[in-house]
Amino acid sequence: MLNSSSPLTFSVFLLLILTTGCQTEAGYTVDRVSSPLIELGRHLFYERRLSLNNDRSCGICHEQAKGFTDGFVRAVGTTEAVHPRNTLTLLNVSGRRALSWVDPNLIGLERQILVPLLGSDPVEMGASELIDEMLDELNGDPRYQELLATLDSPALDIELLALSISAFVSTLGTYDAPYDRYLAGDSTAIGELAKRGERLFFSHRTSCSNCHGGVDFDQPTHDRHGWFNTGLYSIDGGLYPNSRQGLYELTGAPADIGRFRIPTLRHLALTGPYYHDGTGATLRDVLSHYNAGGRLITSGPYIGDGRLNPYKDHRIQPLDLTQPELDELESFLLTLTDVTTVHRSEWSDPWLRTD
Amino acid sequence: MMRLYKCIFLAILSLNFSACGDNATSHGDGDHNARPDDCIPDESLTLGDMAGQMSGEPPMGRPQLPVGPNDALAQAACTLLDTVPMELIAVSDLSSAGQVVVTPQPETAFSVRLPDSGIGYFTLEIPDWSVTISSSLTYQQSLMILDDNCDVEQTQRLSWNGACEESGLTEQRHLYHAWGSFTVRITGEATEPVRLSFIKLD
Repeated sequence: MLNSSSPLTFSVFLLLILTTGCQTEAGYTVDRVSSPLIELGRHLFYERRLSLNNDRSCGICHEQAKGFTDGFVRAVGTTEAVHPRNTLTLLNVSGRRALSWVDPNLIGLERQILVPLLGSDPVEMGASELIDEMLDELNGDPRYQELLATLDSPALDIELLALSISAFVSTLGTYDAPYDRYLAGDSTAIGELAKRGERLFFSHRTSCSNCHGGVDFDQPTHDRHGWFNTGLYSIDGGLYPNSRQGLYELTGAPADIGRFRIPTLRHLALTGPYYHDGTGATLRDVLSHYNAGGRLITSGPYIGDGRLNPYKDHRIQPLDLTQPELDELESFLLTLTDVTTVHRSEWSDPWLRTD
Repeated sequence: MMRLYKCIFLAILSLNFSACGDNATSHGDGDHNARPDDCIPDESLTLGDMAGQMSGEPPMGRPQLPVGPNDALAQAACTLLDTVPMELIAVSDLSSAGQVVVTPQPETAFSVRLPDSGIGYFTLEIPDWSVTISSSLTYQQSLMILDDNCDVEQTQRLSWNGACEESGLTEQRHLYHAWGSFTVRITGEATEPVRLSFIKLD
């Protein structure tokens, strides 16, 4: 039912990734699965002193209680400028090859982590000009000195910072949602409504799984790429709103207008609002859009019929699902969420601890 | 249920000028369909109408409202009356509010064009915790902050702006306990853009 992948093969893959040692430029070697490295990464993940105004951290904008998203329509960085896109969840992120909504070449967590930290378009944490001073400050903090001592590391540098945060982020996520337990043999883990929804999800009629395939429900099964125009907008002949043109922003190819990465469906009950720009307010809104074969916008600045977008993927067609069928599909999708992720202490903010 | 009661209490307390939405039965960890539409007031009422009800005066004419403080927030809103506003086009339905996003701007007023219905929506993103925002517009038009988590507390009820009372500008203030995206609902005349501002207390 999960196409070419399975939770087991994914787990083996993850283990192989994480058990590789890594030598830093400073010359010391760290074990990428070591608890000390992950613990250092957890502290840095929630470290506000790594932001320009001491008001952002990875964990502020990827909040555990919100499925490691921020709940915003579009993200807001430390300079309070509204970003062009919605914040992606970090849950189960280690299974993903490409990590951004737009850039297929931005791969590898260690590399990605430097983007919000040091990037300027848009400014997220805004640390680029001050990173050396920030690291000096953290190296002088007794708590970090203690953490670094457990790693036999002389000091925190940008490389170790990225490595440790990526080690921590790689631990986020589970494969223990109700649907996972159902697949493992617990027939009571999901209800009858969801079971009917599962059949719809994997049916030729909806073809949902053709794009949302794999263990994380984010891999297309018939294409090598995972970027699609789903007919959200059609402005002036098929454009998306300014600065949100998708893959086209990188390639300049008209065929790439409005093409954004397929997001995971795991944990989606926690990660709304949806779409690359957060304009899908609810899961039901999203399902209604797909049921119509695109989104018709009749008011506001972006009036247009996304169903008729010339760059829309040809597989996005009206589904003609009834309301009860939409209920079933929605019920199934909700079984992909593991709500325990919001409570796990090993992923929580260590700076809030009182013990 | 306590959250629902809290919302109702706050809505009554603020005479529906400020609202918190959603209810306890549909919200909680992982609620994917929280929709802040439980606190939408009677759509036939404009702010001027409601102000008239508050003061016991007929809805026509200038209603009697309290006069707010003449402080930095109020003065900033008055100053913005003389600036060229940024134009916004509101959407006609709540679920599409995310298509138009603004943040509080100390130096920018907004001119919001409403749909034919005279009711428009957009999103106000609050990038801070425990921050007070002053919302200003003329009294013929109404503004409501829809809040699906009841994170918004009205700290100043609808008042004439104390720094430029004669201008017809009203002001209300809200304390946003948590950061996030909030849906703003504006009611007015579709033919006349609504001029409003959101100013943050630093």
